Parts: sequence; C-alpha cells; structure tokens
Amino acid sequence: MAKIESGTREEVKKIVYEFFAEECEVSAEVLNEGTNVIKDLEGDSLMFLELLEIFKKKYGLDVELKTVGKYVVKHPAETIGAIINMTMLIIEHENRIADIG
Amino acid sequence: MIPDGPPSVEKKKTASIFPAFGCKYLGNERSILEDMSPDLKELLGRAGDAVGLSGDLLAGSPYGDFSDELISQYAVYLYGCAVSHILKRSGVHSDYTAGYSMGLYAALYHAECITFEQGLECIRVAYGLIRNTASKHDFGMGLISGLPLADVEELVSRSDDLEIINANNRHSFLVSGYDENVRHVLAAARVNGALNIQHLAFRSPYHSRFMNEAAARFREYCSGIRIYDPIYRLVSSVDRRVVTTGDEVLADLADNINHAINWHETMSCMIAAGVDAFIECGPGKSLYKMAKFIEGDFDVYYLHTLSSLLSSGRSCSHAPAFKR
Repeated sequence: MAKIESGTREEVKKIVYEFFAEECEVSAEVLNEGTNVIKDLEGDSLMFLELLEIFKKKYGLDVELKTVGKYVVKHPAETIGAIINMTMLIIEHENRIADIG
Repeated sequence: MIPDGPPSVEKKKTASIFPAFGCKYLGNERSILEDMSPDLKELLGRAGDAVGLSGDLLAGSPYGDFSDELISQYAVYLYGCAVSHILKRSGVHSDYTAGYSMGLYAALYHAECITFEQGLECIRVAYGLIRNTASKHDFGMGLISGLPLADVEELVSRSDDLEIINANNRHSFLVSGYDENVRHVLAAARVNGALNIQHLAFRSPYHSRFMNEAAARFREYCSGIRIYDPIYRLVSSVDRRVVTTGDEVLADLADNINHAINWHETMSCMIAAGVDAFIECGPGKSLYKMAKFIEGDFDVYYLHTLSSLLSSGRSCSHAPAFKR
C-alpha cells in the first residue's frame, strides 16, 4: 500500500491535469475539477487506462485493472475531480478498493 | 509544406500503418492534407470518377461520422492514399507497411500492389459481399477494454458463435458474432471488471468465420485483377508473415475478410524487426492510441505530427526497397 503524504493529492492533481491537457490537446488552464472527460474533452476509456498505468508505475501500486473496473461500475468517474478522488482511493487501498462499498 | 531538399539518412526503420474506417477523425484532416500537397484533391477527383465520392460528402462529415459505411470506407482509404503520396514525395522510405483491418487496401496501394482505383473497387466489392452475407442474420461487434485476454477468452468461450476477432493491444479486444451474444458478453465483461465496453455500430461480423462465403467470393474477384509484388515489406495482420508476392497478397486479401487479425502482434512483429517510427497514414489517431499499450521503444506519428516528422527528417531513409 502506498503511503499517502501531505503532498500526494497535489501531485496526483498535477499529473491528471497535465495528462488530460496533453492527451486532449487543450490548455491545462481551461480544465477544472468539474470538466467531464468524455463529454467536454471527447476523451475515452483508453486514456483512463493509461493514467492508471502511470500511477501504478509511479507509486508501485499492486492493483489489477479489473478490480478498478469493478469499482468503476459502482462508482463511475467521469469528471477530472472524480478521477483525482478515485486515484487517491486506488493509491490508498490498491486491490482492496474492491471492498469499498 | 513538404520540406525542400533531400531527407537525411537514418538507419532506424520506419513503418507506414493504415487505419480502418470507424476511426474517430480529428476534424481538420482535409485542410492539413490540402496544405501539404495537391494529392488529396487529385485523388478525390479520381475517387469521384471511380465510385462517386465527392468533396461535399467529405465536407459534410469532417469528424468521419458518415451515415453510409461504404462512404466511410472510401474516405479512410482516400486519406490513407493521400498520406502515402506525401510520404513518397518527401522521400520517406517505408521499411514495413501494414493495414489495420480494411486499412489493408491503402497499405496495398502504398506498397504499389494495386492502383488507387483497384483499391476503391476492392472496397466496393468486399463491402457488397460482406453485407450480402451479413444481412442473413443479426450480427454485431463489440469492444472490451481493461480485461486480460484470458478473461475475455473465457467469456467468449461461453458462446459457440462468438469470436475474438482482434487484439488491439494488451488491454483492448474486439468480439464479433450474433448480436444478441455480443451484447451478453459485453454485459458480462462489465460485471467482470472491464473498464470499458462498447457495442459498435457495425452490423457485419468482420474477420469472423461467418464471412467464409464472402471471403471465397472475394478471392474469386481478386484473382481476376492484376496484383503486383509489394515494394515494401507488407506484414499480414492475419498471420504476421511478411508478404512478398502478388499471390501472397491475394491470399491475404481474402483471409482478411474471414480471419481474425491481431494488431498487437502485427505491431510487435515490426518493432521486433527494428521499427522505431510508425507513421499512421489516415484520419484520426486511433492507431497512435492503441500503440500506447503495445510494448517497445518506438514513436507513432499521426497527421497532426506528420509535418514535424517530415521537416525533421527523423524517419527518412534511403534504404533500398525490398528486393524480390
């Protein structure tokens, strides 16, 4: 389980904003936590997969994609804010995210 | 604009890869290509004469959301061929080439196996044969992302008439078969943790055994046209062999109709052969995106980044074409 430190959320936020700005070819300044990745940025699920792999590598996370997938079915995350929140949960709980109701 | 002067010599290998219809357009493909060269306009005129494709049809769907599947296929072929012209004009040598699904036709044009008009005619004939076969049943296709291959295989094995017809990369798989079963397997995949499922708009079970009859007839049709040996190493997405003769091209054309393809392995095969720069020749950047989950040290350039590639000379080489 990765240790959540005081700056972790800010670090995650920075990565998420930079990632979507680059992938969707928009300025990071136009993004906010309410930006819907699918509807506003025409993003797709592969982007989320890529982001997940970035965080798996960065924090050495032990989490299976399908475990995250099962969580996403119950807790869809389409906005940048929701994705940041979910990423924090994944970092904190890894595969145990499946146990979260 | 196309850079002046000879390109610098690079020993690294380059592959030109061609997407299929159904890819999401960036929206400004036409203006990018028309700014680079007169090729798109010239080819569009020829496509108009051959199959009635018009500039108005293209302009009406800048994002590739054509209501007619056949027009959609013509359009992606047209864009692919236009990029092929630009690469050749710019002195970019393709060490390898490959087509994703019906992207094969543009790859064959690029490899100078067929003429531009023959490619259009192949698309028209194949589409007619496929629709004729597919219209007998209610078929469908679906995309499953985020499950390991073994899990997808297990889900698909629950129905006799479902097939995995392509592995895009290590996370994304296409399934095909009777539509009812496609919908069932997509729902099951979601429950099992697929991060994304998508029921595709296509009503034909491309690349599946349901297309056996269409493939046999298409082979018969293709055997009547003159197919030249490829000038580049053409990698079959059906079995990953390097196709070097017109006869092998003929077999690959037919097999492409009723056999599963594997894009992940096709790319891996070229990467293993030393390719470290892929050029996506067509609209959108679907192959660029798929390649993010394919292992290896390589770059994929697409239409938006093509100018920077050409001006850098990064991928240009004067390596001799494959000798027959």
